[in-house]
Amino acid sequence: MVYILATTISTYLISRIISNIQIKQADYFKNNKGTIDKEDLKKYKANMKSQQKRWMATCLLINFGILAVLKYTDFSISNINFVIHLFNPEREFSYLNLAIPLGISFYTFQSMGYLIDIYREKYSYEKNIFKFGLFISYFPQLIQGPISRFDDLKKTMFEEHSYNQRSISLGFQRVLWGFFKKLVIADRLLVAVKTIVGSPDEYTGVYVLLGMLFYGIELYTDFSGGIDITIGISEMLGINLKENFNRPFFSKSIAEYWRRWHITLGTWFKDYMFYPISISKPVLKLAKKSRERFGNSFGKRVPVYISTIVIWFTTGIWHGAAWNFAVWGLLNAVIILASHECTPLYTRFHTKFHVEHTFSFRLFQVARTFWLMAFLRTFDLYRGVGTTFKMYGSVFGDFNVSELFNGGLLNLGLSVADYIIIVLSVTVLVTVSLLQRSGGVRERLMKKPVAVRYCTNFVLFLSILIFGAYGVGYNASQFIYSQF
Amino acid sequence: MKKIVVLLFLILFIAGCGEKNSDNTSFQSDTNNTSNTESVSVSDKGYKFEHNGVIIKMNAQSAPVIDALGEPKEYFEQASCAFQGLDKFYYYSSFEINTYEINGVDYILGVNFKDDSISTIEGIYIGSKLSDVNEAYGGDYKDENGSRTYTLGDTKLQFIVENNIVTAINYIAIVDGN
Amino acid sequence: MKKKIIINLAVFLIIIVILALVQNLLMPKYMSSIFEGNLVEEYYNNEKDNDVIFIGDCEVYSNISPITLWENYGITSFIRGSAEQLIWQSYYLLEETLTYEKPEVVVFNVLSMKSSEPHKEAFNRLTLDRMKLSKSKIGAINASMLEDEEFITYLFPILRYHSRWNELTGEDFKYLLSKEKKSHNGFLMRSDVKPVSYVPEGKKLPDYRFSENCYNYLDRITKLCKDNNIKLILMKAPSVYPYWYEEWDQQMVEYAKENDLTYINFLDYVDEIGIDHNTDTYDGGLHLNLAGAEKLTKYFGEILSKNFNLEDRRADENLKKIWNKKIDFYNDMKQHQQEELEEYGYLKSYGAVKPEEGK
Repeated sequence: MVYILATTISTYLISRIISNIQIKQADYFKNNKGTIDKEDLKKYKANMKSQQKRWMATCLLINFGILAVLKYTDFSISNINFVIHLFNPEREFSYLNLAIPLGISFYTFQSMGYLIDIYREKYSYEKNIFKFGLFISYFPQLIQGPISRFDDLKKTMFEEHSYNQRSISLGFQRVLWGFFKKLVIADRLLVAVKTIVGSPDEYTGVYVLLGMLFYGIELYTDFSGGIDITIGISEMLGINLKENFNRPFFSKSIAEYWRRWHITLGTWFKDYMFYPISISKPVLKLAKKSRERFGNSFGKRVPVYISTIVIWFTTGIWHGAAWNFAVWGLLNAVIILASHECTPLYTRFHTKFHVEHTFSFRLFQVARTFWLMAFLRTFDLYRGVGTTFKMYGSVFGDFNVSELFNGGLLNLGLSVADYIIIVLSVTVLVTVSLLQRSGGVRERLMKKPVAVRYCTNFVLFLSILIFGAYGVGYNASQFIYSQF
Repeated sequence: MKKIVVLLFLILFIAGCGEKNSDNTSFQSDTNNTSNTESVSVSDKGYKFEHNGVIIKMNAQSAPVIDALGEPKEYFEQASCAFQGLDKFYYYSSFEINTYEINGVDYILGVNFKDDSISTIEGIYIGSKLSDVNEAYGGDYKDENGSRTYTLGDTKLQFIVENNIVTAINYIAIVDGN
Repeated sequence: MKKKIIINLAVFLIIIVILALVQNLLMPKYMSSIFEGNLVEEYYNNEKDNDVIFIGDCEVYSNISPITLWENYGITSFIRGSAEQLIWQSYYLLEETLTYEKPEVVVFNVLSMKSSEPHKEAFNRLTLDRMKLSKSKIGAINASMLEDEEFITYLFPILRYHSRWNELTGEDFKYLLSKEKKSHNGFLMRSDVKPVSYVPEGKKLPDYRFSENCYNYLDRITKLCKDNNIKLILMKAPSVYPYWYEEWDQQMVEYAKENDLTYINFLDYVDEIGIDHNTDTYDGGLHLNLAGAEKLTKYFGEILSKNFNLEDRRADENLKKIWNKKIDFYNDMKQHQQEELEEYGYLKSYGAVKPEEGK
């Protein structure tokens, strides 16, 4: 609680200071138009700029510092301990086990985005500290995002008045849909996922693939379901948040996938990290040097590569303070860069084979992207880097596909009935997604008679109530017990 | 109107502020529990009783144990009310074994000593001194109403003590709901 | 405008009705097994004119026959028992019963004094799920919940039973709206026989004193009866097991003395009652069967009628009509059970387990 107050207050104050500097600067120019010479003007500008920079840096340091300490101290300690153990197995630093406030990764990013926007003079600062506080701590967003920009949120929170019957209906439906995804699909699949991950020695080979498949669906339905609930509640209040998912599993390439999954995080990194890094002085200098040393084509890649790798490493550890996340992030970077490098190859292939726009090729691309991301996500699934590689190995080493047909599927904590529900509900999900491509489903429902809408909502509600994977019997650890 | 509602949210949030140990950005935060669940099955960690070369572990399947020990002197079945499983009692000359049932299979719930002709693997028998118990099992016990209980793995070893002498010895399995 | 309100109200009502039906569909019916689940519910449809109310666990609902009590002494009674009923549940059930009627005598079986804490969710459900919503039910739920249970799942059982959707059977649909009577004023009839073979000794306990929690509730039951001018009788059924320790018996004797109550330990009168361990039990001595229950009831009835001034009401025409129906139902079931025993060797449709070969 203290932490979010600290962030709110520090950001508010400092952004005010920065804004004031900018206002001072603008006034100065207005008042002294035409009476100063160029040199002084430049010096003045530079001075003002560096003042702003220093304040911004302070604020960034404070807030990212809080985040870093709370979230990454124990991670750093474990790495330090690892090194120390090499020399002296007895010594080690103890862990601090700091409690991490709810949503710190989200609200820190949201407020720092605001700070940087102020610095860039994108909009003027928010004078009302309570409004600002609300922007930071708007609680539906704290849990999983989406990460909003201040100007978007300000407009919809305080200015527009779209709080009406229609938005309540639409919002409510979206909330129901989110719960459907989460309780019926995600929480059900989670039982199987936990079982597979809980005993990696037992569940090898084809089970790892199954784990990847289930986890992909589970993570998507859980995360996007939560976002649906957040956006739905906000919609009911007349607040319109930005989308965070755009049917990502229909992506045809990894680059596209990251434009459609956890969108607000991606755009945050792009706007606040990627561009600044690639046009920053040190990077540009390095690029120039490389161009001189290694030629133009190499040199022009330098900023992009550096930014990409830094961003993805950061994205990785943003997800969690452990090496498997860092590796995951870096692997994403590698693949993105690699596939970008391969573009000429692809173009050659497509001019030769003319398959690009066929349905089957597009299907292939979708499947390829899905499995590629599923493989990458395995680092998130198993706790350690070593385990993940071991499981990769077993996918190719353990030929136990036959277990799929011998009732192996029923050893994961799910019954035949559960699988039927999964198949049916995922079918509904895919159908709705396909329909969405040609216009919002809820909006279309609005056009139908009221009875249809009420029935749809009620059926959705009943499905969640009856088929939701909550309560007694859906605890994977209970299942593991009853196996013995 | 809207502003009020939205500000209300802020207040609600501040009022119900919680600290969460995870960021909910990934799946990992939930998996902390699953890797430890194998302890509910028969673990090697736990107090065992041994008689005539037969090792009796708590929570183990009882059928092979009863087979190995031979025909009991007496046998008693207790169906709990509303038939939520059948508890069985096997009486041997100096101890009794009782079992619980899950899905048609019986597991050992406990072993109770009946006389001083047998002892625990660590050498304690009915009539031993409390000081011997301390020596054999150490200081990590729970004293309650005249009994001293040691817990190890999925088992409890309970000594009923009167006037610093052991008067009863019971092995108890730790089962969900026990 | 008015039309809109009416439509909204109608829609709301329809939704409630559908949800209630769905909830009822998913709740277990206990019509083909575990009949104990019906006991609490069957009280509500019954005439609220009972001289005696029995409360307690399976030792009451298996060992006392209200029909026999009526037939021999003209005493009306109902058994508000349930499987492994805990003493606080007994208290709240009694409290609830007293909002419907005021009996002359309440009999409480004291075996549950040995259970100081809730033990299994399944038993909680059997006792609490079908209680009508009332202050007493809420009290009972709060006192009974285990750590990982949640109150809202008792308020809306659909939250607990929703996953039964793939276990639904014909029974769930057949008995969706109404159920068949399974007990005789709370008595579950078992005519089968399984003689006592071995009487286990009680294992030595570290501490014999009943818990504070149980004594508190016993005090509350005592007070509730005193405040309502009801005579409370503490009883211990003549079961071979769970072992009723001398130390426990002593405590009940003392409690009864201190509170001016009657305490009857029927274990002491097994011979006088005429209980035969070879013919009068259906599970090796834990519970009496029909024959045993009738014997015990006749013995107890004598005490109730003589020492507690309970009027013989067999002359009352209304009551006679009502109880004749009950007697018919009783005799029908008796006969049906005999037939099953002859045909199958065990009570197939009464929850008995098929005896294994060679045991």
